[in-house]
Formats: sequence, structure tokens, C-alpha cells
Amino acid sequence: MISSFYPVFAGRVSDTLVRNRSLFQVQSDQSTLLRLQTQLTTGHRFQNVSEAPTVAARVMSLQRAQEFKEQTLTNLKSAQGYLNTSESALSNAQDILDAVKSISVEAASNVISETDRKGFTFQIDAYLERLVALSNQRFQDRYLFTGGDVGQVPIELRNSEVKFHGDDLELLAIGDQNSYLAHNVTSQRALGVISTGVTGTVDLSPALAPNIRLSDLNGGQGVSAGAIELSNGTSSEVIDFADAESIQDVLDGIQSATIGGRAIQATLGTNGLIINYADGLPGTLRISDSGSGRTAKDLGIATNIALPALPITGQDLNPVVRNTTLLSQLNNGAGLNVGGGFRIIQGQQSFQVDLSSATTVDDALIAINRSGASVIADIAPGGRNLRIRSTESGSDFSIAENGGNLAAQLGLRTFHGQTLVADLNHGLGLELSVGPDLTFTRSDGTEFSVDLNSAVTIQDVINLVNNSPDNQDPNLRITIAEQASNNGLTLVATIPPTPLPPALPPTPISVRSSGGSSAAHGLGLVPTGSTSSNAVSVGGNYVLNGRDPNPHETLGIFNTLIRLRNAIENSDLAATTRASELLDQDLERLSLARGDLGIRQQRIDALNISGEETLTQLKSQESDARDVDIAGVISELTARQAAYEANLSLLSQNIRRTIFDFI
Amino acid sequence: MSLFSSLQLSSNALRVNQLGLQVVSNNIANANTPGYIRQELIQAPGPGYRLGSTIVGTGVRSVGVQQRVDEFLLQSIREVQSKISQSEGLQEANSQLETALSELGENDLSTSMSRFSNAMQDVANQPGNIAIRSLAVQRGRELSEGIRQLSNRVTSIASNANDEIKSMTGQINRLTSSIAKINQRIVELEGGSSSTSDAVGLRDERIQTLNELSTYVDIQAVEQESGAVTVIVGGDYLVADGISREVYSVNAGGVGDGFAEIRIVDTDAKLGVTGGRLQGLYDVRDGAASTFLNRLDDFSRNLIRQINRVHSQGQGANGLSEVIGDPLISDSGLPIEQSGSGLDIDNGRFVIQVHDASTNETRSFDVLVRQQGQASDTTINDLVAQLNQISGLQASTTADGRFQIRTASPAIRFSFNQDTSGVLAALGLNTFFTGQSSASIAVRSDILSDPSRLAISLDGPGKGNANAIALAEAFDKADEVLGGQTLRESYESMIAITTQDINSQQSITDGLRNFYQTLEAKQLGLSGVSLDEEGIKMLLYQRAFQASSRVIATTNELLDTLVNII
Repeated sequence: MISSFYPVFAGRVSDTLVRNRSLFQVQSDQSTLLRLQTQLTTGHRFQNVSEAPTVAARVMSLQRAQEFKEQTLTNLKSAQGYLNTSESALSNAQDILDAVKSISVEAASNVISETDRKGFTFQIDAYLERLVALSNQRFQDRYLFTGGDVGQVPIELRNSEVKFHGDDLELLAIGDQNSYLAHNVTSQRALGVISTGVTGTVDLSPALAPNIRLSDLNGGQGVSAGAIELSNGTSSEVIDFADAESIQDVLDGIQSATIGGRAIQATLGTNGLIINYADGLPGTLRISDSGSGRTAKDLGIATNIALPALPITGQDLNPVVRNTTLLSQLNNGAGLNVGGGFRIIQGQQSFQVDLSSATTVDDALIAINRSGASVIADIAPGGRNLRIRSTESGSDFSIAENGGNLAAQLGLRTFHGQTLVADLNHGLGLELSVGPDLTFTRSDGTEFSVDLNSAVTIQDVINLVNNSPDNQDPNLRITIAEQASNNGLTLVATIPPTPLPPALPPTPISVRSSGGSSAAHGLGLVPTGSTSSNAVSVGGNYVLNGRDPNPHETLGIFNTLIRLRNAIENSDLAATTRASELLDQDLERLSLARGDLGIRQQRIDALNISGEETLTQLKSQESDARDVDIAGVISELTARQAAYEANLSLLSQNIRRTIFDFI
Repeated sequence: MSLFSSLQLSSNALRVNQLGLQVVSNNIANANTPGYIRQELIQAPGPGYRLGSTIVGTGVRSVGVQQRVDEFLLQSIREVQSKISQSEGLQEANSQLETALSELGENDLSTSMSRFSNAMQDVANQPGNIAIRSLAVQRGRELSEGIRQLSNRVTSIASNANDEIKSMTGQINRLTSSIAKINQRIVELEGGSSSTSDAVGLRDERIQTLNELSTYVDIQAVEQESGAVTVIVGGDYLVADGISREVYSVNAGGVGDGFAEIRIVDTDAKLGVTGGRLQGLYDVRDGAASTFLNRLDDFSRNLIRQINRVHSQGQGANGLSEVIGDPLISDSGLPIEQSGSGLDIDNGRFVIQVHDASTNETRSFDVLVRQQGQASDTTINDLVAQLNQISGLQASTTADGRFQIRTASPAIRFSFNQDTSGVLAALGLNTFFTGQSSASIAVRSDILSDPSRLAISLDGPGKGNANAIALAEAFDKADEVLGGQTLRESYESMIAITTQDINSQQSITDGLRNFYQTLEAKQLGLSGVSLDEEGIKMLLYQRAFQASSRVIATTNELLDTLVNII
């Protein structure tokens, strides 16, 4: 670029100077005209970044923002396509559920003929198939409701059950900076295909091990990166744990310290760190955080007193369970007694889980997942328990012992003393009466009754029966307890030596509901359709084993439809009514899913509008920064052209004239 | 005093005025000759002699022809010329660099980054579409090719400068030899008198040659009493009297063909230039191009590291049956960071998941990577041992220093996640890019041939799109290694710094040109021919000639009168 500046020299003027100056002016003018012409033809104020580095940097930033924004609009459009198709499928599903609802109402409220019953079951089967087809709907590259594994067919209708093969993973798209939106709807959210599952109620509490990540301590809250200070009151040493990743790193770091010439020893307790002088002799050892950090506190070894007792025993660090955690580490290092394993019962099938060869939690999860049951076993959120969820709809699901007590150790057994009475029978609880609810017939034919209105848990029921004042005769006492392996209650009474006064032979004990209550049925002691149950003679006892009154199920539309069909087929009015109520929950879930979809679609619309506006603003800002002012350039070009012509004219005349023209 | 002496005196005057006219006509003839320095006839009154009590003059005599030149000004011009040549050399290279960058356009690197990021978002939108995965891989290839092309162009700029440096010896030797020869002839012609500049044409030629030499190297030209000019560069003389010292180019190390430098043949010392085109070329090769290349290499390494750290933790559509790293390992027995170059890792671990299709079992294993600066830190051999303990996996290092993991049976597949150490990325395991610099960055061939290996999932092979989102955002994540900047910000900073440098260089060149023009204006004012001035001089010589002729005529008449008396 030629500068328009040419120095004016006030001394002698030679022809060469005049010529040079003339040439310079011509070149300067031409250069300026060329620049203006380039600006006009490109529309840009500058062509190279170096011409205006600061403005160009801004333009680059604006261009980047536009490229991002244009992509987000593409993302939104793509998401909109998937969500619209999903919404259409869910709308059809809702129509089907509405139709099924009317069937359920009719079936629950009227006495229906055999023909009607068959008609209803056929209709429900047809609806079930349509729902399966809708759930397996494909759009572009994916099965709409399968979750993260988009090539996996999500729903399989097998015999009388529906099995789910997908997952609950959301697929996200970038809607804006740090703003994401899911562009899929999972079957679980919309249809209900995975049971809420059984989450262990026992804290598995792994013992500390050197390889445990610091980020897994304190229930997964981790340990703040920082430094700790060890001191004996006169000398101190700071140990930096910024790069520490595992417990081993912490042990190594602390053991590298020397305080007042004495080496430090750090070892692992069951749950916390143990720190002392290596020589084991008395002394002062304080541990504190360096500066404003909280590493020592997070490691549970901060001492808050001047003379801490040695060795310093750290607090429980509560590591979370990981797939790689050894089973032997669980229960504070006591491990598990895996003898017998446990059973998963789905419908009429029982699947044994054998953990005898499992070493790690991973092995245990694999053993559960590969037991044959349609379940997903994983570590529960929070990392303190295992969780088993059923992926089968239309069947009951429970976990029971298999001769040992592993299910109880893992807190996975679905029926136990702490099971809430209100949760029994799929949440229906017990229908109790005012006054006695259960009536037992002893082996001598006499009866006693128990009022269960005060029972909250199964253990309360057990206590009320076993502690009943009318049930304390040691010869005739009926004992109620949890069954050892199967889920359910068991009644046991010793068969008394015969004859008993008044010289009658003993009769098997029995139980029935009393006073309008359904407690005996609800507790699984009396089968549906019977009024009472009699014990059988086993060895020297009368024994009555009840059914599992607390089965779990996968709440969702497939489960409901299958249960409704079965209920209608079996003329089970109560089950039909319950299925009808479940349908309401399904409709609500579906409505919520559609509502969520609607919200997402609205959000997409809003993002689209704001995105377009932002894009326009960005383009405008880029234009302001980079584009040329056409009118300004044209007027400058005109002025420059006039000046150029004048310049040329003047120069040609001046160069022509010398003294020789006048001699 | 006699009439004859008057005739003689006028005759001298005629000769001087003729000489004056000749100088004028020479000036007029060279009015448009570039580099011509106007000449002036130096006249002086003839020596007087005593005639009785009167001292009588003896007319006029020509002392000599002198060039109107300011040596100090000429030296200043040459110095500025050297700086301009240096600056213009840089500016030419900068212009090429800026063309190579072509920022603000549609095919620049920043656009390639956006396209790659956007393609990853498209993959996240349609994770099941293999064609979109392929397109994303191609976008990655475009980005890597763009970086390589830029690197090649910048390397070419340096290499071209290097070639020009080599070829410059011929020009310098030609000019110094020429100056030495002119020196010799000037001394011969002027005979050691410097009061005049009799060898005017030769002096013009020498000034021109010195000026040309100053465009190549910054010279100090000092005229000696003999009329010869000594040319000094960086303290070493290149020309003294009639002698010139030759220079030659030599490869002084560096990459490839070697970085050439110009040395004096006699002393084998580097020619100590600080200006001129030669210095400009040194600046281009060793400064601008090299600095930019270093910046581009830094950026490329960070890009490779950042993308690979994200990619290596993800999973493709299927599990892996084999991964082979980059050839980086030189000593498997040392802690990993010291076992090869560029192995930047943190204290941490990664998880490897092994899936056995025959049993449909997936197991997770922690692989520890301890890097605490202690002798017990994890070595490559430790890593191999840890992986070999996992049933179904076979780890090893290859003869050319690559880390390799294979499965023991076709039914087994593995995948990685949660790598807090960065060792996977450092060793080139399950990475997207390969290479260590801007010249070698490329998309891994196994991903190019099988886009299903593009690791878009974090929840297991084929499950979800979380890593595609992470890859799309990798350019916009702040990184401690980049001082808290994102990759894009670091790239834009690099462009901003480079273009600011170019802009500053342009300003410097413009300033130098203005200064040069000021000096040139002064020099042209002093040494250039003014036709008006020469015309006036011509009239004066003409009139003086006519007057002297009249004196001769009058003297002749007086002589006639005297002769006729006889």
C-alpha cells in the first residue's frame, strides 16, 4: 500500500524530484482508486485480516458465532422432526388407551356375557399388538422409543409378556451454548417398560482399599484437591495432594513426610485412615488443611485439638460401590455369605442367581443379568446399594432367598419384616375392618382373633399375632413368621399329643379373615376365592405357607393391558378394577410424556425464534464491522477520480514548461 | 600587459565557457538518467601578476568538474534502503502467509473447525446414521489436511527464503567485485585528488552499485582520500580499494536441506548483516515463518491432545478387537512420561470394559496409571502387565514402539472410558487424530476406513450420543494447558497475534518508505538536474562566451589599428 504522504522539500527543486513526485502522486491516486474499486466489488472494507486486525478478530468471532448458531438451528429442526413423529405415535397410543379404558370400565361395571368377554380380550390383544407396533416405530435412523441404542428393536411381545430390550438413555442435541434438549422419548418415560425395581436396603459399605479413587470417597462427593499440613507444634510439613487420585497416593504422600526428624506412618483402617509416627512413640501430631483448603477435612484426618490422641484415626470415608469393587470388601470388609444365592421370580418362572464364583460387584451384576430373568441389575444411584429392575411387563416380579440369606444381606428381598403393610398387593395394602381382622383356629378347634389396625409393617403383623394374649398357650400356640426361602408368611403350630381334652383328635390349624376384613387374603394366607386355609402336617407341626403378598411389577401400558386382558378372561372383577385404575396412571404418564414433548417443542420454537433473531443480529454486526459503506465509497471514488484527473492535467502541464519555452 | 595577453585571457575564457556549456549539455542530456548526479564546472580566476604597482588578473580557469552530492545523505539513504529491503522481504512473506491463512473466507481453518464441530452435532442428531458418521470423519480429515497444507505453505515460505539466501551470494559478489574495479579506475583517473570528482561517470556508477548492494545487505561506505570507497558490513570489510572479499553460502544445520547462512570466504565468519534483503530473508526464515510454524505446531498438538482425550474415552458403534497406538515408545521400562517423546499424562487411571459375545458378559477393569514423579510410577511394562491380567486381552509393545491391545478371541470386544490419566490419548489408543505436529496431523486410518469406530458414545458401544456432543464442544472447552483458553480462542489468538505482527510490519515499512522519500527528495533536490537552472547556466555561458568573443574582436581591432599605423 502506497502512503499518500510525500514529503515536501523546501530546498532546491530539480526536474528529477518533480518527476518522482509526479510518479508517486499518480501511483498513490491509482492505488487509492484500486482500493475503492476492490471495496465496491467485494463489498468489504478490508480484504486481509492484517489490514484491520482488531476488527477482523471481531469478525472472526462473529463468523464463528454464526456458524454455531446455524448448526443449532439445524439441530433444532432435526429434533423437531423426531419429536413430531414421536408425538404422533404417542397420540395414537393415547387413542388406543382411551379405547381400552372404555372396555375396562364396561368390563368392571357390568355383568358381561362370555361372548363379550371374549370380544374384549380379542380387542385388547389387537390393541396390544398395535401398541407394540407403535412402540417399535422407526423414523430415519432409529427406533423412536428405544433409548440410546437406536438400532435395537425396543419391544418384544412374547407369549403373554412384553419384554423391553432398550434403555432409558436420552439423546441430547445442542440447542444453544450450554443448553441441551433431548430429541428422543424413551419407552420408560412414555409407556412404562422398566419396573421401579428393587433397590437394596442394606448399605453395602465397602471397606477402604488402596486403589479406591478419591473421587469415590464421601459417598461420591470426593476429596477437594489441595494440600494438608502435618505439624508437631514446632516444625511442620505441607503435603500437596493436587495430583492425588487414589487412597494409595494419599498414603504415599503422608508417608513421605518427616516431622521433627520422625517419619510418619499412614495405614488403612476399615473405614478411615490411621496416621501415627512410624516409631510408635508418643508425641504431638496435628493435621490441618493448608490455607483455605478442605482436603484434610475431606480425608477425615483433620485434627481440631492441640494434642490429638495418637494414632489419629480418620473418620469413615464412605466409598461408593463400583463395578470393580470386590465382594470381599463389602460390609466393611466382612464380605457376603453367598451360599445358596437368591432367586428372581417373574410370573411363573423362578431364576436362580448363583454368586459363588463372583469376585467383584461386576461379576455379581453379570450373574444377575445372566440368570435368565428379564431384569437389569446395576449399582443404584448413590453407589451404596445394588438395584434390580424388571423389564418384563405383565408378570409379577419378586426376589426371594434360595436357602441362604444373600438376598437379605444385599437388602434385595422383596418381602421382609420391614415391608409396609400399605405396599402389599401392588399397593392396595390390606382391607381391614373395625375390630378383629384375622381369626385363627387352633388345633383343638378353638379360635382367637387379632386386630391388625395398628400394624404398619409385616413385623408388626407378626408381633400382633405372636404376642396376642389369646395365643400364648404353649401347646396350642400358632406362630407366624416370614418364610425362610420363599416370600410370604408361614403359620406353624405344634401338633399336640392326642387325645386332647375333651378327647378329640387334633385338627389342622386354619386361618380366615374376620369381620369383613380381607387381611387373610391380603397377607397371602388364604387364596383368592377361598374363605379360609388349612395347614398341612409337616413332621410334628401343622404348617401353613402363604403366597407372596408383595410382588412387584413393571408399571406401564403393556403390563396394564396384559393384566386387564387376563382379568377379563378370568372374570376377576377386582383385578379388572385395578387394571382400570392402572390405565388411569398410564394415561397420566402418557399425558405427562406428551406434555413434556409439547414443552420441548415449544422450547424448540422459542429457541428457533431467538436463534433466528440472534443470527440476524450476528450477521448485522458482522456487516457493520466488515461491510463497506457503499454510498461513502462511491462518493469518495468520485472525488478521487476528479482529483486524479486534475492531478494528471496539472502534472502534464507543469512537466512541459521549462525555461527553454521562453528562450 | 599587452593586447596579446588580453587575447590569451579571452581565449581562456572562451575555453572555460565552452567547458561550462559542455557540463550544462551533459546535465541536460542526463536529466532523466536514473541515479545521475548533476555536475558543475568549478571556475576560478587566473593568478594575478604584478605590473609595476598594479596587480593584473589573468582571466578565468577551470578547476574541475564536480558532482553535487551529499555523501552523508547518500549513506543515510543507503541505510534506509537496507531497512526497507529487509522490511519488504518480511512483508512479502507476510503477504504469502496471510494468503495461506485466508481467514475471513470460506476455506480457512476456523471454518474447518466449525464444520467438524457441526458435523459432530449432526452425528449427535442422528447417531444411527452411518453416512453422517462418515461425513463427520471426512470433516475431521478436511481439518487435518487444512492444517497440514498451512504448515506446508509456511514451510515453503521459509524454504523459499532459504533458497534465496543461497542465491544471494552471487549478487553480493558481483556488486562488491564491481565496486572494487570502479575504485581502482577512479583512483587511477583522479590520481588521489579528492577535491574534485573528475571520474564523474564512474562515481555515478559506483553510487548506483553501492545503492544496489545496500538493498541486499546493510553497508557502511566510507570514501578514502584516494577516492576509493571501503565497504563494510557488520564490522567486516567487503571492499577495500581495489580488493573485494567474496562470500559464500553454507548449510548451518536445521531441518531438511539445512538453514543456509552467508559467510566471508576469507574468514569463514558469518556476514554480520542487520539489514537489507538478506536480513529480511533471515527474519522470514528464522523469525516470522518459524514463529508462526511453532505457534501452529502448538495449536495442532493441543488440538490433537484435546480431541483425542475426548475421543479415547468414548465408544464406537461396536467394541474394539484391536487398537494400535502411535510409534512413541522408546523405553518400556521407564515411567510412561519418560518412555517416549510427547507423552504428557496425569496421575489417574482408565477403565477398560471387556465384552464376551459368547457369554454376553461385560466386565469392567480399572487400569492404574500412577505418575507421581516417583520411581514406582507406572511404566509401559506395568501397563502391559495390568492389561494382560485381564482375561481375553493381550497387550504388548511393537518393535517400532507402539502400544497394542488385542483380544484373545473373535468373540471378545473391549472399550475404554473414564480415563483420568490421559494415557490413552497420549499413546494413541482409540484416538481420532494421529501425529505430533501441524505437518503430521491426520485422522487415524482405521477410523477413515471404518467410520463406525468414531467414538460417539459414553454409555457403551452403540449406546447414546454423549461423546459426539463432547467432541462437538471440545473446541469450546477451556483447557488449563491453554491457560484457560479454549482451542478456538487459542487459534484466534494465534491469528490475532500473527496479523497484528503483519500489520505492525506494514506500518514499519510505510514509515521507512516515508523516511526514504524524505531523504530521496533531499537528495534529488541537491543532485538532480534542473532544466531551468541548466538553461540559465547555458545562457550565462553563452553570454560570457559572446562577451569574450567581443573582447577578442575589440582587441583584434586595436591590433589592426596598431598594425595599420605602421
